[in-house]
Amino acid sequence: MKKKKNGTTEKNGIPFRLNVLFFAVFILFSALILRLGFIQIVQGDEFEREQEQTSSEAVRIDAPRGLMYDRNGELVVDNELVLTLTYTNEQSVSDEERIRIATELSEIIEVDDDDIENIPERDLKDYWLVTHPDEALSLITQEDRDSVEEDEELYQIQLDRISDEQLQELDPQREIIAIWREMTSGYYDSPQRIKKGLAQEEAHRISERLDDLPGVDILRDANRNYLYEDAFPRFFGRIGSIPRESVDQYLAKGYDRSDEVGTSFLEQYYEEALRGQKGEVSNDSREESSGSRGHDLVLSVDMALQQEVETIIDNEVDSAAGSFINDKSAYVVMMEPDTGELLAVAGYSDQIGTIASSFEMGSTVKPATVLLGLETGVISEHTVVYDRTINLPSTPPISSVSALGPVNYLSALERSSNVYMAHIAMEMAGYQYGVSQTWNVAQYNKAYDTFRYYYEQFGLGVETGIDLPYETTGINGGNQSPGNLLYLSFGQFDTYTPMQLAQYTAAIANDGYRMKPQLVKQIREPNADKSELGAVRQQFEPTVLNKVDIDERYIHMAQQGMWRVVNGSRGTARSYFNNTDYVAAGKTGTAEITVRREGTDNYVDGNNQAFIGYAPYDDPEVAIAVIVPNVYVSGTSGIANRIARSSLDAYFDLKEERPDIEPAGEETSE
Amino acid sequence: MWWNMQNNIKHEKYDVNLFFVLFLFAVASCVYIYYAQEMSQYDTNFVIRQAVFFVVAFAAAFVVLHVDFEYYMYWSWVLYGFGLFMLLVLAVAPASIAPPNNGAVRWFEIPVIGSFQPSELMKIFVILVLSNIIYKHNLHYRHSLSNDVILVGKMIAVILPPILFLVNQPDMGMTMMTLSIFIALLVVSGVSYKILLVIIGGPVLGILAFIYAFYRFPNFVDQYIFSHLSAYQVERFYGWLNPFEFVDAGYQTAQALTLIGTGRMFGTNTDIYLPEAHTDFIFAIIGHTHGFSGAAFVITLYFVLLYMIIMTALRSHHPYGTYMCAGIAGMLAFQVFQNIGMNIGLLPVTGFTLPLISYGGSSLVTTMLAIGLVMSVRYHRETFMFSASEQSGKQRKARL
Repeated sequence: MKKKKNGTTEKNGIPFRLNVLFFAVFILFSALILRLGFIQIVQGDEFEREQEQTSSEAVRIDAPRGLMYDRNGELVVDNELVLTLTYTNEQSVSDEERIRIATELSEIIEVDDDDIENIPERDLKDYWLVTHPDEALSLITQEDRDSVEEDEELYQIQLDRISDEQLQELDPQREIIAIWREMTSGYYDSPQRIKKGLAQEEAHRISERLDDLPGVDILRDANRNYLYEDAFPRFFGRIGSIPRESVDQYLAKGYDRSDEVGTSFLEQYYEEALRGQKGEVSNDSREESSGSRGHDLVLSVDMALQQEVETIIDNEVDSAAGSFINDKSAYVVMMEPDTGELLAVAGYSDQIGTIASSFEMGSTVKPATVLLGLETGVISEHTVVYDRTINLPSTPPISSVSALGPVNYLSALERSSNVYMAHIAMEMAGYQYGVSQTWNVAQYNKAYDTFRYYYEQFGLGVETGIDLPYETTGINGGNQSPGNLLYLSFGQFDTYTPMQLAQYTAAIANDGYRMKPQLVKQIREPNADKSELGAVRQQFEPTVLNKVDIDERYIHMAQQGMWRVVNGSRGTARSYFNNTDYVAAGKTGTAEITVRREGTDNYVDGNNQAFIGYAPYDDPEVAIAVIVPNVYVSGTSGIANRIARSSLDAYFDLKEERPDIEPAGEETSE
Repeated sequence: MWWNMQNNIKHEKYDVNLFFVLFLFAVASCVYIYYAQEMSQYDTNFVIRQAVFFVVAFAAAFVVLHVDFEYYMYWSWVLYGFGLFMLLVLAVAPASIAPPNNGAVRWFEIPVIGSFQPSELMKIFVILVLSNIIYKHNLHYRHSLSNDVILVGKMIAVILPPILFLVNQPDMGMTMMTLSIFIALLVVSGVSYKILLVIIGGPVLGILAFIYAFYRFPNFVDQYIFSHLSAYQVERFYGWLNPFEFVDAGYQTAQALTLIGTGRMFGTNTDIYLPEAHTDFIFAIIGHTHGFSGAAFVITLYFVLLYMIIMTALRSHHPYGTYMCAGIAGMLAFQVFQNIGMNIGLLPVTGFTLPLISYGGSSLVTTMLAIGLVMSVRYHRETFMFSASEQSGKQRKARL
């Protein structure tokens, strides 16, 4: 036996094993050669053909982007044809030649004053170095040359040593520099837009001298015309050159470097749909396809309502102008509860805040608190809490507006009892007010988690899933002291965005379905006649993100509570909703906050006014969330409630009678 | 060596053939980097820099080769410890000297010297230590299944700490490289085939099964495998196995394939855009400019290089030299296979350079250091007066 083992050892000897290794290398390399042969010799034809096809698209005709319509088919984003001056930079062209072209162009075209004013210093210096080669050389000494390793460092030294006086010499040439800067900022061999929207006169004079201006060309371009920019300022988005960091991705999808793409909001989110099909004039076959406009978007937004809501916000906020601690602001989001379609998304001169700013929403979260209390069983419909000030160690006293006396879940919502909510939080944390001496750490931490679990079911504190490229989720304060848990229960701890608040409201209104908010309803084929919609290409069906994990019976109970807020004899919103044609339900909210006065270190007590609601109560068509942040405690009260009332009125009035709408400003409609 | 001066003959000879092959690599490298930088997008003259790098790297290798490789064995543990120390420093260093790049911390950013990747050196140190372990083990123990398991255990204990650091960086490429060194050395260490079968056969089967499942049961793979990976890793897989449909993730692969495919038999010169053309994707430039003939020539050149390394391993009078050469051969073979494989769509994209040809100073210097070690084995070769293979074992024992 032993001998045999020795035998195998010999066979396992090093030379043999080295041969095994070498054989493995041989196999691997053979695989490489085989695969290479397959690609280059067998499939080579195919690759060559494909390659020729793509490179034969020598001339491409830019195709316009798709348009946008509102939910009623009103055209809201249009294209207009403009003439654009482009310059194709080439590596072989000398600096002098480029400057000569820039100088000639500056005599023909008018440059925007802004562009002339805002030339970065670095570009000025670059230009100075190019135009003053001898003086540039004298800026560096032999010593510098010896001390640095790379030419780039020398260049940096030169840049640093150019004096302000030397730069000031350039002032008369600023127009040339502005043009030169655009000319050199693009990629080599790819047209760079120098000026959009050439005047006819300018275009004529340039085309006469094209021979004299190598690299210069005039392109037919489409300019975006955001017709309702005043009412819907930001969420249409913008288009612009492809951002440098994502050039590869766009090239992979068949874009050219000179193409313009959506760079923000809807233009960016729906880039694939909006992008036009380029026409091709191919070299070999002389075939010409004209290309087609990109697909059109039909928004869920009702632009008439949006305009009205904007006006309502402006009026209410401006009439309470002195009440704001910092900049005036207010946000409104209106949504169809059954579909998640957004009817209006407005802010006082700041639309983005509806998805990007978050606030303590105050008592508007109470329906959710009551719901999670009922669902977890810490309260029942029979629970009655005696509303009076709660004094806890190391926590400010907690009370409602006034001592409300005994309240149940309905009156707690109707009259907005903080103490009732605090009771839910304390029960969940296993703390009996007046009996317990200490908090159980594990239990109150668990209560934090339970609270947030249910809040997130409604969309509070999580992404809403809106069809825009960015949104924030608000600030989660973490699990802090037990006192903060009580504050969390009536909306004065975590912060939420107006969009989250709207999603939450809609989820209560539709009996517990968290809907994905949609700004776009449909994608449609382009139609030659802009006033008519094309065929539907894609319909965005309502998306249920989740069914709220709460018994529907309880949700009906919370709805009742919200009905009493608006219609009950002691409802906090009753006085704001007198004589409506519809029956609404809602919840008011006032979060007590401390804000820093901007630009100072002073902190001021203030309120966030909030309102959520929906109507009609029996069959909700519209849910609304309003937030008016950072109002002085002594400032005008009820701004949010009045905005909500007027906005709901506007919605129902528009249902009755829909006037023809027009973009606000005269100059935009041209 | 002074203790066996009498009964062996030293041949202190340079391996001229190897120098010549390396010279061919230097020429090929400069030529193809020149072609790469001609394909628009770059302003810097990389060729000149690469030429300088080659001179520096040759010099480094030249120094390394003059030190008897048994000293490397003697110092291997110290070097290994030093390497681990650098990885540790990198892991805890502040962002000012170890800046994250695409979410991974792999480089030191040192003023004057430039950026430096400790794992590049570490892979050489790992070879030195593993060879040391195998050599000592085979000296003291006979091969039996239980002894083999102990050896494998020791080897794993050595590669585990650097791998943990590498996974943490994260750097999957380097991790795989370390594993390839481990496997190459495992093969030559002489452990039982049963163990080899388990350690090598298992993963190979797993990968094949994954590829089969990807095409055959895409839903299953999506649901049970991809859901556990991060999004960018999943994208890599799609880009690899389906580059023309998943344009985002497969862009580089698709472009490289187009470049190589259009090269046909003898090459062409259309301008096709490819990112990283002078570094990771230099092979696509080779396949494009000189077609199958050029690409096959380069692959053959690598094959010749590996052949020379393995011949040096075979002829070494000292098993330590053999192991070291085998580890280096394994490392280079893996790197070449992985890089060319990703260029021709055979393997997923990872950030490997093509050794000796891709542009880049640090990878070139480390590769040349490794080859310097091989040259040292060749340079310090001794032939015993008696037949080497018969008595080498006893002789070693007597020495200790």
